[in-house]
Amino acid sequence: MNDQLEPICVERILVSLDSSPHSYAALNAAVDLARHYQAELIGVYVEDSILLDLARTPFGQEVGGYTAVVHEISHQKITRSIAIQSRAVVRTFHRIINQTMLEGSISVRRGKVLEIIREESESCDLLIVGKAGTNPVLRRRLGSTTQGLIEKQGKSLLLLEAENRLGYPLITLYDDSPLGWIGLKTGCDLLDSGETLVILMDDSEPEVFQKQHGKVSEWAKRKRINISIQSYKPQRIGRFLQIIEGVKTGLLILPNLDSPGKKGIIQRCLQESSLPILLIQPFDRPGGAQ
Amino acid sequence: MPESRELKAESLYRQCDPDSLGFETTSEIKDEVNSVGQERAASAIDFGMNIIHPGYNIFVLGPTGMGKREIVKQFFEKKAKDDPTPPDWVYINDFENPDRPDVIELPAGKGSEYQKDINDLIDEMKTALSAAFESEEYQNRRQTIFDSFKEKQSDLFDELQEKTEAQDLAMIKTPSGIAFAPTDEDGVMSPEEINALDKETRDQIKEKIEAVQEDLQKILQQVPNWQRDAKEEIKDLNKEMANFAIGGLINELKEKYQDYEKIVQHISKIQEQVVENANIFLPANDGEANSFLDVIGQRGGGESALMDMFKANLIVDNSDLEGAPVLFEDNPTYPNLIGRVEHYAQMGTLMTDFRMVKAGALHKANGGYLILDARKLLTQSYSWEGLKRALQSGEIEIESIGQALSLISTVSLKPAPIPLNLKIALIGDRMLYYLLVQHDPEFSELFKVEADFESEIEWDDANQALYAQLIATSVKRNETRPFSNKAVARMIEESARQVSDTKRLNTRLQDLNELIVESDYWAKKSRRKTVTEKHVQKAIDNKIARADRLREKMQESILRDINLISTEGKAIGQINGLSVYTLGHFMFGKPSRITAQVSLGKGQVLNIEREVDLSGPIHSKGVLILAGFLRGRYAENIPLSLSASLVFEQSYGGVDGDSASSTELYALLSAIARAPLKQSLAVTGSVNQKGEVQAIGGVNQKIEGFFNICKARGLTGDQGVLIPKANVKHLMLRKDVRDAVRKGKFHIYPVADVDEGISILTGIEAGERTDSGGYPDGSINARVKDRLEKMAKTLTEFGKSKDEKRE
Repeated sequence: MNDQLEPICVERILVSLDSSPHSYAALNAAVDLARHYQAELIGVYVEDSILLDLARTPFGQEVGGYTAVVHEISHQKITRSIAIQSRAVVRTFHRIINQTMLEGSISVRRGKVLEIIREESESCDLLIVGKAGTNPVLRRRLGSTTQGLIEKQGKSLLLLEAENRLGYPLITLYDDSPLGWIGLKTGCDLLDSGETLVILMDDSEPEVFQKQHGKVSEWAKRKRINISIQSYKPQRIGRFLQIIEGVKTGLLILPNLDSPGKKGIIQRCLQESSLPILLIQPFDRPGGAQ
Repeated sequence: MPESRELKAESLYRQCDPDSLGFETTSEIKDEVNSVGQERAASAIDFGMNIIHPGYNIFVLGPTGMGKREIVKQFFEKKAKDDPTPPDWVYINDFENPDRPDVIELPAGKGSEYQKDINDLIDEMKTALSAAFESEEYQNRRQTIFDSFKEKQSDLFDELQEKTEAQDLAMIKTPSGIAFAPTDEDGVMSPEEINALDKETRDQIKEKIEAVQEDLQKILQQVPNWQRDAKEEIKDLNKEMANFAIGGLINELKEKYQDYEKIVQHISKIQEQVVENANIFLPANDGEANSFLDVIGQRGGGESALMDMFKANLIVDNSDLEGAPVLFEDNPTYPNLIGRVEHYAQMGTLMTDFRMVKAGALHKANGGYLILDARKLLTQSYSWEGLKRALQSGEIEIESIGQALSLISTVSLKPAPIPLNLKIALIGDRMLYYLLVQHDPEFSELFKVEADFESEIEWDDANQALYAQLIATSVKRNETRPFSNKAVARMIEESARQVSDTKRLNTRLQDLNELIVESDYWAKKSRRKTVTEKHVQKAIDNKIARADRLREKMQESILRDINLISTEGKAIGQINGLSVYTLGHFMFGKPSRITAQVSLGKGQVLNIEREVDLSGPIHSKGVLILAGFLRGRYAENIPLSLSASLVFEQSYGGVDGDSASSTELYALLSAIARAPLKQSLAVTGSVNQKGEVQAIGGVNQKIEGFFNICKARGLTGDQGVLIPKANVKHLMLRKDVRDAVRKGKFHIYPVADVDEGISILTGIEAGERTDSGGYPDGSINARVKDRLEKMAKTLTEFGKSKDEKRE
């Protein structure tokens, strides 16, 4: 079964940009992967219609992020701010594209952020976004847009936060499902020679673990790659996350498993890990893994 | 007749007997001498360098080329060996006043040691601090502080978020803050949807939004305080870590330098600075530069900039010195002398700090001896003023000229002054010394010792031996071939010739060294291992030949009769005078025709040269003396009723000096007495009102100048030169002149007075004055007196009316 599964194939990468440090980390990672896969890079900046509409509501007021002073939101002011932001993003995108000689383009669109990104991602194989937006006050690891993309979108998703860089260690969460195998093979694909792929394997059932261990080891032997299988117990995944806490460089590959046992683990990894995360989306979503 | 009074060839030159020197070649002489006959100067230098009171600096005066500098240097070096080695001086940053670097005095050798220790400390501190700040402990504690800050924030925001969501509101990030908007099951409500709500609902929403805005404001107002607290905590943590990391290193160094209070203070300040600025040593993100300035600036920012401020700028390093320093500053510009503060360009601005303080000659020679060329010092802008200020204040204060004159406003420093204690020897010529004494009142206070170098010494046996030793020393120092005793003897003779005195020797070492080097060159060319008298002579001849162009041209002009000079026959009122030309170090003599014309007049002797401003004051004086002579000798009781004019024929340049005054007198007497003068003779010598012939300069060159013309035309045996008797001791004539004299082909007549001279020139006795006040008939004096009396009578007659004449 696993022989028929292929690692994710990337020909077009969509990177969603705003002016947050997370999105610039996303752009850097997108450039790295575009080089690796010789892929085309598509950038999108969304002028949030919700923001633009705010000025037209009777409650069009904002609290200054730094001064905490309440003032009216004017349509003109917010339009100008968004225009400035979009110009800066486009300029940065072009500068990086020109430096790297990659093929790429960026578009500025207006609408609801989640919808636009989903639309744009339809023609791409991989979507790269920052884990959170520009809000300096709302300090959750995953922003609402990212959360929405994780839940409602079928393309593989690479999530980054500020200061993240793709690199070593390469860690993949494995289970014997097709998504687990795609994650494993994608990890193998991204591995540089001499590097070791770290494989996290559930050992709550020893027999299953042994079987899977043997299978993966045989596969690795055949592929001539270095692997290091790290066992974990689902209830103690926190310990692993604590070890890698604060690590900003590397890649954690997660199959977005829907099984009740694994879903919690995936959610914890998404919420607590500071590493870049490549989320392999389920098959049954539009554009999900094949 | 005159022949009996002429000089013999032996009197024309003083020979040095090579056998009297006591060696075959100079290689046999082992003892070295640095100077000869400079006892007075040596004693002055010795006095000046040993007296410890301020102001007893030395001015070494004398003509150039005497070797004054070398001699002074040797004196200083000899004394410096036994003097204590002066301390090292280190400039350090004053952290409270960075524009006023502080200075530390350390025993010789300790300065470089401290500089090295500080550099090592900086390296070790970097490593220790880097290790401390990268340690797990530090990272964990720092993270805890951050997390605690974040947690406080997150808790409140989460609470607010929940409250907001519970009231069907959404928190929306705007470009400059946070806004709230109502939501329904489809998300944020559009303006149209909101406007469709009834007023009561909208008011309720408004109230809810205002309530959460208030909550948000409260949270946001607390954030800066939390941030400040977190920063303070991190700062304290950084200090703790830094103190721990470098404490051991600092204490170790403090212990090592516990005897030096200022050093201990410096190290303590370094510790304070490191602890205070510990955040600078935090690892930069991803190794990227901290700021734009770091990237494009020439100097590293943050850590390296701070570490640079801990360094020690060793401006005086006496670690390799034994005894006191002796320094000669060849280019005494103000910065080279007093020191300077250099600048570096950063972002188009000139910047500086204590590391850019550079030592001057005063720093390097402090505690020892400094030799300066007075002329160079005085020609450099502000150097003299700077030196005087330093000597007067007893300290070296580095200040740029621009700063001193308030010309520039660039950021600069005012380094702490360094106490000054040194002896200075200024080397210069006499004129400079006397000018300074006269025009600079501070000079005499600061340079109280005058070391006057003799340019000549007596040629006696003792000095001759010393002089030979001096030649041998110079031969050795110039690393030339050894000189034979004959070569040395020839050099001694040439030395006497250079000063035109048979009883004096030249002490200009430059002349001596040049002759040694050039003689060696000719010896080398003729592949001889020893320099002989021939090589010395060749060197002398060659040197003359190199400078001889103008003399040759002048001689050619005479020989081609363009410039009229007779060397045979007789003529009334016409005589050959002799003058000397000096071109650099080269002197040569040249004959000039002087003529005199007399007529009835009012006792005036007209100097035609003076009338056209071609006569110098001394020459004019000489001519006026002639009128005095004529009056005194011939016209005591009668009016001097002649008008005479004197001229240097074919002279188109200026004439000065009184060495031709006797010559002019002879021409005048010849013209008055109508007695022809021998043109085969030339004359030099000044004369006084009593008719005594006095000494002149350049006698050798003058004789040789006339001899050259005669020789070129063919020596007749009648030719010769009249010189003042007082100049006989100055004769050091060329060999060919001496040979001609020996063979009777050329004659040198020493003359004591005018009578003697006119007798030789006319072949007629001058005639001694009789008791009656007259002169023997036919004598020159009688002829002159008669003519003058006749002229007086004629003049008297000339003024009478016809009736008076008849009576």
